[in-house]
Amino acid sequence: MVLNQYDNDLLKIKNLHTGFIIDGELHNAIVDVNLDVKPKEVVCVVGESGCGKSVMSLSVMQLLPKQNSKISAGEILFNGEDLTKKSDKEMNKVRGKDIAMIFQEPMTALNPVFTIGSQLMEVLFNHLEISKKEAREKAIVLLKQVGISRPEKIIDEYPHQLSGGMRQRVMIAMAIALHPKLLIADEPTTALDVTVQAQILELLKDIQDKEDMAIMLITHDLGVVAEMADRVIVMYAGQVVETSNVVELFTKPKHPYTEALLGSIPRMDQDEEKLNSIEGVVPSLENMPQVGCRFADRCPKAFGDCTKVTPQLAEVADGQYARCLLYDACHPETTSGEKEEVKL
Amino acid sequence: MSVQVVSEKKKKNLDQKEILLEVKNLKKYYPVHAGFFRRKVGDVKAVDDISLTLKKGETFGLVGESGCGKSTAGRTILRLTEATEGQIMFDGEDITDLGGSALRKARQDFQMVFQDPYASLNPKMMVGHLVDEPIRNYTNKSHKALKADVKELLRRVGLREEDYYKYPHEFSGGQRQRIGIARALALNPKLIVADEPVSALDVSIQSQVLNLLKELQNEFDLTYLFIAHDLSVVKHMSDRIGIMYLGHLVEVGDKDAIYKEPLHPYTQALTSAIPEPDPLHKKERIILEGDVPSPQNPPTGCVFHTRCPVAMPKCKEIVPQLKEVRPNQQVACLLYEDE
Repeated sequence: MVLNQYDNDLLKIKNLHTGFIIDGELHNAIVDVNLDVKPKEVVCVVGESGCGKSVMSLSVMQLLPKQNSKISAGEILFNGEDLTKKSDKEMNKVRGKDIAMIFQEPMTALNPVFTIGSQLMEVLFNHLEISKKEAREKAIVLLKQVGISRPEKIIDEYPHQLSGGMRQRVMIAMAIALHPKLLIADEPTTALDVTVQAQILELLKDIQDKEDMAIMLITHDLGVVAEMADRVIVMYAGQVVETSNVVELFTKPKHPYTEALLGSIPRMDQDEEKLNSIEGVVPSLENMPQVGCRFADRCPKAFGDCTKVTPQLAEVADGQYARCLLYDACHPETTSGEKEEVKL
Repeated sequence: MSVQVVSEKKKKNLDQKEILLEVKNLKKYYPVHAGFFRRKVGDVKAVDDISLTLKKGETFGLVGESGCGKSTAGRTILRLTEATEGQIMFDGEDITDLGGSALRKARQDFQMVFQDPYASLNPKMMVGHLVDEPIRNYTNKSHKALKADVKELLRRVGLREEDYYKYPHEFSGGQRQRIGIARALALNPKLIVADEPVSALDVSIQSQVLNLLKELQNEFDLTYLFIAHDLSVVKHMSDRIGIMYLGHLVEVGDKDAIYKEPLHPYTQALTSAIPEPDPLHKKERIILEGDVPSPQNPPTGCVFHTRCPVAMPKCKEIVPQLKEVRPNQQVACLLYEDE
């Protein structure tokens, strides 16, 4: 949990802007995203649908369709190398080997007409020079590693013969086949039942421990975040609004959005008659406010300047960053930290 | 403080209230056909012998993982699919075999809110007409009166009067779910079956809809059968909870009992599997092996014995029955058989 011991960032995203071309015009889906992932760290990216968390991860993997999307500014440094400058051919060497990804829908991420084994071996053939026999043996070992019983049999089966949880295990086996340093998991348990979700989370933790890899876990479930994360990045409407260590995020959230989000989930261990809900909805890509805070119209603590001044991500407490004018020391209406008394 | 007082009061009131819905030994089997002659080779036992009662004004939560039969149970209770066996008593009347106009008439009193607000609203119909359709079906109100009613309903569920003239695609998921709720409310029903009403929504929107459902319940004295897979949502909404596994009700009880002292091993695993949004409080977790077996070929005896961490040899043979182990807490498990 002590994070300062790693000096070098494994992944560092600087001022990333990624946009989609809609009717000939570029609309940025994510704006000015800065984040870093250190070796062996689990970073969770949370946010509601449409906040840009998946676009961010797909930008890292360079998997967004070239014809209608564009990284318009910023850089993505992986081990010091800028991924945005790499060609497709060079990226193919990075994907799978250095950075691997697992997706939300294990149903659609596997090809239904190939056996589990052939899909798993494909990864190995692409990056390693090994014989078919060796690859098969290695595949069986991998399946065993992700907790699949009877791997000798499963390897010749097709994806439809497996349950959702088993498919996600196969996806994880594929992802860890080449011992990547970073695993990007995009909502890996959203499509699964709770009891199966618990199995998969346990497996991910176990593998992270054994393989010494970093995980960037993208999720909307704050329960999963509390379970897995070392550090958390909260996104709203294409921006990072808060980053913090996991304990501080849950105990002392700084940004009003984080606070409201935490208040809006029903808790098993508490009884409340009414949940704190956030009024309104996330603005759409075309109607995004150009100046001011993007959360201003839904924010219970918003004041006059929120729609006029664009807040920047700034350190508001030790290791805790928030994008909010409430903590902007130069602002007359705020004195950092003291304003927390404001009633919701 | 005041919140607690209110819920205390509500609890006391519930004990005296009369029964609105009583389901006895409900079964729903879907036949499986195979071979050249499409002969019947077996049944998918979607709902296998469940019994439950709902008092007026209470919320009964039905939880379980996908494929456990909770939605089928809800639909069968509303007579949207025919029960294979069993009896459904609604407000003192047996509605199991009602047909034709009698069923149509009874349906005014039980309505449904569906899971997917994108699929449950006709995209070609104006919101006003979507909401007034049920009223038009049952009354001869004038156009003007209908419009006034609908506008009132829209306002009540947190939409604007102008929304009357809009079409579903102009709304976000949360707003669409509000339209679905307005539709269900249109006939002033006594019972609303809400089948995963918030699972398609984001957390911040989810809480808006949950709050709305609670407010409406207090205002119109509604009874809810709340079906969901998310135990924390169900716990927030319900007075009593029923846990389903492979078509069977394995445990029924007050929500606090279910959460604090679950008795059935499945309930224990389920409550412990939910990731709690609290990084300081790591709980002891029971992780179940494997997946839910196919309902077409359920295990013999107790359906849970294949995954149960405390299964005994006799669990393979004897089907446990739901039995009151503590006051207001029933469980179907052989562990509690001899007590």
